Amino acid sequence: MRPDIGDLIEGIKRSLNEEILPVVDNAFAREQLAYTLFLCEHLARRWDQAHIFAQGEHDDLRRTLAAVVEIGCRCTAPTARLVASLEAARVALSAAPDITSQPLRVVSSFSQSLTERVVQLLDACEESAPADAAACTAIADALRAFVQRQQARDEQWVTDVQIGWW
Amino acid sequence: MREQLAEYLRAQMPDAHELAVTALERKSGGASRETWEFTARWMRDGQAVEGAFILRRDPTGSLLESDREREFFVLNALHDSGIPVPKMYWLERTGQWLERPFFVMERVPGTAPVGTFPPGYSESVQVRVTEQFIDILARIHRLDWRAYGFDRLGVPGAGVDAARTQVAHWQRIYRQERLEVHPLLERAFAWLAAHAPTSDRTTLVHGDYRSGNYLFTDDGTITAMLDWEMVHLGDPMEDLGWACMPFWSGRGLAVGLTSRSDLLQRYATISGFPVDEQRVFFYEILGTVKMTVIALTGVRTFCTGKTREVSLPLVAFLIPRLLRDIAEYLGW
Repeated sequence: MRPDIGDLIEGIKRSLNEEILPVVDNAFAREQLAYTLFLCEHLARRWDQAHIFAQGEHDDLRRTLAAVVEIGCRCTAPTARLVASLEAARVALSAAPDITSQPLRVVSSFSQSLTERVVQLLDACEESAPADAAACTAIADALRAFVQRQQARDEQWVTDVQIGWW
Repeated sequence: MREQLAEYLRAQMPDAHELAVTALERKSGGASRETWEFTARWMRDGQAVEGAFILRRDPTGSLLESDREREFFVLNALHDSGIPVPKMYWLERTGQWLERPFFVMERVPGTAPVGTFPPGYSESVQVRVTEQFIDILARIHRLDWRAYGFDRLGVPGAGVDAARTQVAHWQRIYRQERLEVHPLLERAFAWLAAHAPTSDRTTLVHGDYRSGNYLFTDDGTITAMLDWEMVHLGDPMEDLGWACMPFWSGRGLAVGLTSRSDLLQRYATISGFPVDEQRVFFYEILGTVKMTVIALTGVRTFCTGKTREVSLPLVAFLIPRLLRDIAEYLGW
């Protein structure tokens, strides 16, 4: 459907840049407008990839937690905390619906609940029983690899934004 | 706002006549408070008087819910300490005059460089600024804080208490302000809690000692250290760790001024305090975590509509960079 969101953002940018900014004298207001334009630039570049980004993260989380639950089955003497964390991950995975037709914020919300399971499992692995050191290491490695991939995705998302602190 | 401000000043200076406020202008920056510049003119005893001021007003929302009373109290006390700080004039705790609480202080001349040292200055000016930057930090840390009444800031216990207090403080803010859970930050807090170092002394800690927070004049004189809202008593290595963070470095130089090793070496020489590299490293990690939490707070204030400042959501773009630094520290 046209105008799509990108058309609208481009229109807002043109209006701010060509109509409003030239007639604003106040330095602070001009700066606020410049920040707004900066944000519009980012939105224009990213709006049609946001769903792909969120879905990619969600799929990765599901795959990672499914693999971790599988590894957890190999534990012979798991701590009570690890058992509870693995069970929580299993329940969260089964509760997460098919997200292909869900709004972006619903996808993000499910991803958040799955990310909380990642944190819980990482904590549980810290106090693993010696008998399960190998399985716990494998779980922690899988989770750590997910966090690294997530970090790479987040960096990629802002790769074209050059700003510094003030 | 100009007339309300003039009314306020008249109330503070009953012997000032014909008082008028001019050139009132909001300035950018000031992540924790709104910063306004203004000039006031008045007559006293038949003489014309003019003053240049800075007004810092509580925002509707900010990166830090910092304690304005604390900052005002410390800066007021430090005015004659030999540490360059602006003179504080008035603290207004209510929203009666300007809708929100604020304080008024002297406007100090100078430039606040951000990131790298600005071009166009001779090497000798940069050297002079660098030396003062380090020497002032040494002076802050050598201050007899009890004599200034700074024990009311909260004195950490011996041993690991200073480090643990800071870790717990920032973890509490993270839990309050995060919009989502961050596995790396969670692991970083766990690491920090487990590796809190023992401090060998308690000093005044500026809490945000870096480029962007000092003013210097063209001859290379640092005229003021600013932004004391995170001031507290703690481990002096905390300020060094903060200043050494890669996040503040410019062209490979710590705080855009000098090499990390030169900074630490001169600090040790001037302060007389040995530099404990391991503690500096700990506080560098804590500093990066703290900076991430500050950025998350800014994002939250924007997303929840607590602020109208459009620069705040931009700090979200810095978070991946900070998290990358944390991942490297943790060996992830």
